[in-house]
Amino acid sequence: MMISLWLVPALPFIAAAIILAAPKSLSRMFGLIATSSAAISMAVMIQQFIVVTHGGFPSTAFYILEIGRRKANIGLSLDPLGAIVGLLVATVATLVLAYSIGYMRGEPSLRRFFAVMSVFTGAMLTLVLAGDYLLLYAAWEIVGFCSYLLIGHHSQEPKAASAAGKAFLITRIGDLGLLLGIGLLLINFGSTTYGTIFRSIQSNSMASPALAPIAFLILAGALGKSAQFPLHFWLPDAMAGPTPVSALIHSATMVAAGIYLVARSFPIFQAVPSALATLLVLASITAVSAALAACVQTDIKRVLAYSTMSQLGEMGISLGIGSMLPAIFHLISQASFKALLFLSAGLMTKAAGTNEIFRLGKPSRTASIGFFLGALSLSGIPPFSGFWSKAAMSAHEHDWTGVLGSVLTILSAFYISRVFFIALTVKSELAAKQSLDALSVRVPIYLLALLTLIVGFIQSPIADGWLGKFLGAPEPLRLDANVVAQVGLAILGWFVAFALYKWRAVDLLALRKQAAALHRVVFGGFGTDKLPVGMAHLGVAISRGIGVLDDAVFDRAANGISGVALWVANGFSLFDRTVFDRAANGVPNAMLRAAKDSNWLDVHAVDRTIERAATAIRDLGGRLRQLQTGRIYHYLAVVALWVLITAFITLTIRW
Amino acid sequence: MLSVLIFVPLFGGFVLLLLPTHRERWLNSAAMFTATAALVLTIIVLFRFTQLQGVPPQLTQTTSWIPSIGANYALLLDGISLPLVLLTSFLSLLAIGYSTYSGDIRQGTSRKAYLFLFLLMETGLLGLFLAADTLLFYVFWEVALVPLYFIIGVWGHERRREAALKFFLYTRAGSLALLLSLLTIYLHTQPHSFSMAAMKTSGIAGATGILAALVLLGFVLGFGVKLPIIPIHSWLPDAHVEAPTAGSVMLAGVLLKMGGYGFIRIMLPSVRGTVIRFALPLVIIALVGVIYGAAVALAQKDFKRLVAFTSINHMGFVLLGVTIAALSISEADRTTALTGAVLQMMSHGLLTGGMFFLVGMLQHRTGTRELANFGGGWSKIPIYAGFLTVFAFGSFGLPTMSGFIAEFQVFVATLASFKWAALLLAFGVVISTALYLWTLQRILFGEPTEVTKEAHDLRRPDVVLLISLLIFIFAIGLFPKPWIQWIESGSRSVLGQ
Repeated sequence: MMISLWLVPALPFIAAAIILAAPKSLSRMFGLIATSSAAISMAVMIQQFIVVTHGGFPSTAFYILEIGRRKANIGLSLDPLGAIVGLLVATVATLVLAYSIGYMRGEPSLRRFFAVMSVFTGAMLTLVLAGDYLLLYAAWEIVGFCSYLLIGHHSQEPKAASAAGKAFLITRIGDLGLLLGIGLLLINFGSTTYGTIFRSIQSNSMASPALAPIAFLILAGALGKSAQFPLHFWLPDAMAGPTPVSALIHSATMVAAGIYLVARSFPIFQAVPSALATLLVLASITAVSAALAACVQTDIKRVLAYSTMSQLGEMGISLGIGSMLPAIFHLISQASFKALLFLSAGLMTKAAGTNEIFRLGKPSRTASIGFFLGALSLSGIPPFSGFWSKAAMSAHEHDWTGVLGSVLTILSAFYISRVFFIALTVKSELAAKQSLDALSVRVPIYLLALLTLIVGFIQSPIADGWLGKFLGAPEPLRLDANVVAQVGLAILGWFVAFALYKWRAVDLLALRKQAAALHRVVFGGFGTDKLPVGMAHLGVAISRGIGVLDDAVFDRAANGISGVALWVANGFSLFDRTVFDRAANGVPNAMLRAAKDSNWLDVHAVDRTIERAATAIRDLGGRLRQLQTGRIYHYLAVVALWVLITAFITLTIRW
Repeated sequence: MLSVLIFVPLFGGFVLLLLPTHRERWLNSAAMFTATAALVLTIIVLFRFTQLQGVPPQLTQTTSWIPSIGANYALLLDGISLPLVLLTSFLSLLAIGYSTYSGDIRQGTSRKAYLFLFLLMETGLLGLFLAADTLLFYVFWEVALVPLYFIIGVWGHERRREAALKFFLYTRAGSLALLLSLLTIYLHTQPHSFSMAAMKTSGIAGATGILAALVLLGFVLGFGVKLPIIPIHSWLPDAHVEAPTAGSVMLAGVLLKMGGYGFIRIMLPSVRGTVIRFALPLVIIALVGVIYGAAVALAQKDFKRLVAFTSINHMGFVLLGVTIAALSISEADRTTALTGAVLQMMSHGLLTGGMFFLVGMLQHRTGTRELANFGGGWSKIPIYAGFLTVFAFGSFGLPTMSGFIAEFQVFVATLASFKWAALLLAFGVVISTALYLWTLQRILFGEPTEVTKEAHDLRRPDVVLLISLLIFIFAIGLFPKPWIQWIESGSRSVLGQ
């Protein structure tokens, strides 16, 4: 059966158009339209995925854009990497949209919400399925736009607007790097198509010095999107968006696009080791600082946000070491358990009406199970996906990256079990009063739990390392002492959290008081909260200064010129009166005398006409003067002066 | 055909003058009918253009005009003029359409005169973009400028007279500089001719002396005032702010393009060698415009003034594209740069035209333009909020909309010639992103304020108007291929490739 690839991203776009055009009376259907389109899209994606597993490369060419004599093939094309990530995106999007039907019921602006979520789904699928950099970039910006709108969905909340703007602006700095990188690709390769570019790199027709700026510019785009240091400031605040948005965009899909981009451009990065080394360092900084920040957050969504940053950092470390497969594997795995954690957390926060973990209390059974399983997976406890993907990553980590990996394992196990012990094991009067228990909310959570339970096996000895073979980078997976040690560390993390928050082995409040400054720094994500605000103020102050300057300098300059011109004109006028007037006066006087001598009747008749004309002119003059408020003379003088100067110059040079 | 297109608005304008003054609906209908007819004619011309086989495709018409001085009534439509002609007819129709229902024509002012002036301006602009003879170009240049003086001076806001005067005198001074340059070229052409085709072989084209530099200076001043470039821009914020909405739309949407078009059609062929000599200062002026325009816009407290300053930012791309088109050694880069500049002009006309409509709609609803007064747009006027967001994102180059593909081409050509300039350009784009986001934050987010509480959302004609703009914007952004092809054919012929 012939099903075209373009249907995959097109269906959500169509759904968005329907939702935007539909009458208000259908508002209960918006969620259903969005979800079903995503579900059909997922079905098509599965079919296309199967084609790829049989060695096919489905593609859709839209058009070839010729820019100068360079070509950009705008179109979709599917390869194993695109197929697996595309399938992930379609799946998570369908589940989150289904969840949103129940979760968002009764909220305002549902049309906007579901339309934008659908556009996001379509654009995210386009990003993953694109066959060239230019289309990828277009989708890249559109997902950012949707992210902006969805973070700001609760538009009346003061935090929403600044969070949305901050997210877009900071990622845009990276985006422009990516854009410049794509421009350089177009200049150096005459094309933006992946295949063409990678082939000519592999055939060594491109020297690596020319590739270095390209790699770094693409890296900038990846850092912004995946919230890596130093473009990481936006992600924690992005949690101002509704929870389904956080689950879909800010944990599972869009933020992973940076990792996807580096994986996609891996031939370029492999040719520029310094770019990979840079990524390794920046991702390490992000992973550790974000994990530490996650340990002290009290807002459940901010814990998860910092956790996402940290997990993305781990993927970046993996890429930085030079191994793509574990990074993509962890991307898939992280998407499954992080979406699960967010959706479960959404039930708790909605029931309690707060995000504060100390006030959440024991939630409904669905939320508890979902959160618990997600937490186990995040910690790397077998047989969940987190275990398999972390094992795959740690197999490549040596020396200091190995130590780093172990530290991160403990930290992530600690921060997520901390939330579990604080929020899920304590009875609270706030919780369960109005718990959300619709089918559309429960089913996605259970399905995601199932996903995180089984998805790890695609790269396990049981499936014979299928993912590696599929992506063309087969690697054996050994269940050695290292892997066992990682699990041990995860359990240690859980134990520490249990000791601190259940046993209360240490007086944490006293500890926090003693190290208040340190706590403040870590809590703020090492400047994540304050720095961008300061920079924004600085930027506005500078532009205000320039604005004042603009008024002061250029307007003044114009007035100054007219002042000088007026002065010159006055001089001329004086000269005119003293010299020419005197000389000329003789003539009219003579004429006047002659007139007196002529027939007085004639003078009478003519005079009256002239008088009338003069009155009319005087009136007109008066009106004009009103219109021009006097300043016209300044300006006219400028014009006159200009004409004189230019005429003088032209004349003297020409003749 | 081209002449018919040029003079249809003027003819309609004269018919309008004969109609009874108190029949407002008749006047509205006549103006709308005329503007629609001009748009239909433009589309017919567009279709004829697409069917041309020649390389480069051009429609021409030449009649002797003033034989004694070698001036011809010569018209030319090629890939460069086509988008601007289309932009002119389209925006004129929208501007007139908006004026007929918005209430910008105040009680006690002459509706007839207002509509006539818009139609007169349309004729001037169409003639300007189609002229193939510099004297004819200059005549239309003046015809296009004068109506706006009255539109601002009579139908503008509080400080309209001052602004109109400032606008007129600045452009007048620029026009004179332009005229001197044109005449110098005329005198150095053997035999004396105003033909644009002959400019390439004039004595000035190959000259390197001070005279060629002065001719370039005249062009930079004459066209630069309109574009505008720093530091001769200070008429722009006042004129835009004080003009009635439709006037601002035409001013930003089309009249600024007179400058860019002049750079491309006249300055580039006639003094290209000298442009290359002074390329660095020109690149710097362009970059300063991009960054400075955005930075000053960011500081504005008046919504309309803010949008006005963003034009300086956008037009910096045009000057940069033109300069790079002159100096780059690669043929592909030259074409790309010039095509980007032309597409940027068209795109800016649509996007910023739309922004000025949006400013006007908000001012009409709230009676204020102070950004500090707004808030809560998403909750009180969601349709307006949606449109404003889309236009704002389009304005700073969101892909799938027209601005992106235009700026991308300038980016690519700049990267190939001056890598550092591309970085500064990107910096300018970051500032303009910030300024639009901050504007959206102030107008659309938060609790509704006193003024927005009372505001009613967009009505059907507003929505029709904005959607028609968006269709155009997305048509270019999603399917840029034909536009790029057309403009590239024109760029190649202007660059003599």
